[in-house]
Amino acid sequence: MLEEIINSDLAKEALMVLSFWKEDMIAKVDDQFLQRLSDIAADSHKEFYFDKNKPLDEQNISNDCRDLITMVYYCYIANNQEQREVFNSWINNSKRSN
Amino acid sequence: MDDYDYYLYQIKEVEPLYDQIKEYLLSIAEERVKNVIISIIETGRYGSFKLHTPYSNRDNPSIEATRRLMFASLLAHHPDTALFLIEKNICLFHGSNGNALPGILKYGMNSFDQSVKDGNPVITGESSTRFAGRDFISFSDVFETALDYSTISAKNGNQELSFPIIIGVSRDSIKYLRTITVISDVPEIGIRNHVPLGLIATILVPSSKVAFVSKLFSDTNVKVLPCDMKLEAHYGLPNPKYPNDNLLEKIAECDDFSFEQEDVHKLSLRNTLLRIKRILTVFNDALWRDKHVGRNN
Repeated sequence: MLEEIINSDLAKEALMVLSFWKEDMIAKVDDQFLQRLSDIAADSHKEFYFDKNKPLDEQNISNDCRDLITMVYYCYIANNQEQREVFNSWINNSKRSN
Repeated sequence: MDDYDYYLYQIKEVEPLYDQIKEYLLSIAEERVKNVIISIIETGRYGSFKLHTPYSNRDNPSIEATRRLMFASLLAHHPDTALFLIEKNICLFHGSNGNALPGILKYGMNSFDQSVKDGNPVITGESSTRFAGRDFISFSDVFETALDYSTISAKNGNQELSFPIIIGVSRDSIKYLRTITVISDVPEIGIRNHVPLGLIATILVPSSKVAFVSKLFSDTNVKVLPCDMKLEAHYGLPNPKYPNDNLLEKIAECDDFSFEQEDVHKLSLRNTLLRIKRILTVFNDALWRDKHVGRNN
């Protein structure tokens, strides 16, 4: 199921972004999820590099990757308050875009 | 006079800063590894652990000097990492970058031709060993060579970074691998076709990446260890910044950075419910299946 929506290039891109997360954040991400992502990413022909002088939201990463990273953050990292803030922001952004 | 006395005599001649480097490394090293450093520098071995392998250039004092001094540098900068290499008799090294990890985890290490034959992606440096028809995976028993490749490999232009990795294979595993002689400017050992994951003993990564890579390899016997070293000047290439080719000047801390949680939070705020909804459904299904059905179903 994960493979249906997450192709190998997207999995690789997301995995490489996650590799640059701080250790305390990575510690909260499920091992099995990372291993599943890596398994899908293994078939990607692409390589991903990041600019050390730019914050995450200014990096050249795809929209799909941003979505996936956001999901990982929401599910594993954000506390209740942060989840509420993020979720409300999604609703507001959706209303603005309609 | 045995081989090592010969090398000691020659090494001092080819490395004019030999004594200063040794003195410097001993000054920064922890007490518990000082005798190890002395043994490595003066003999190229410690106990039953030998740096040099029969597969590489034997009678080259310059390469032997580099081999010993660079491993001694690792002992000084990362004593636990180096002591593990000694304990497990790990003396073959391959440098690459983080992009190679998913492929290695799933398929092991493969030569260009093997990857093409198996229909697997060719990533990072394997294609470079295809030059002039060489088809093998490049290893070295000189730690600096692998460090050099990992330093180069981790950069894509001036600012674009991945992170360096160094893969280590034990001397005891060599008998299971197809080695070939390589004629090269650098001390290379060729391994034909394939190095299975089971023969990879260790992967060295920057300290900040140990947690991440350990999670990826948690179901394997690969030991993930820290190494924050990089080379400022590259092997064999003249660098006007280091006219004396001073080993100590060449070693620096590798470029590294991390995304903070507030960066990730800020990125997350920009999304929309519509975009998230689709991926959330599949994400939860996948997580449920992983938890209740299993990874291979």
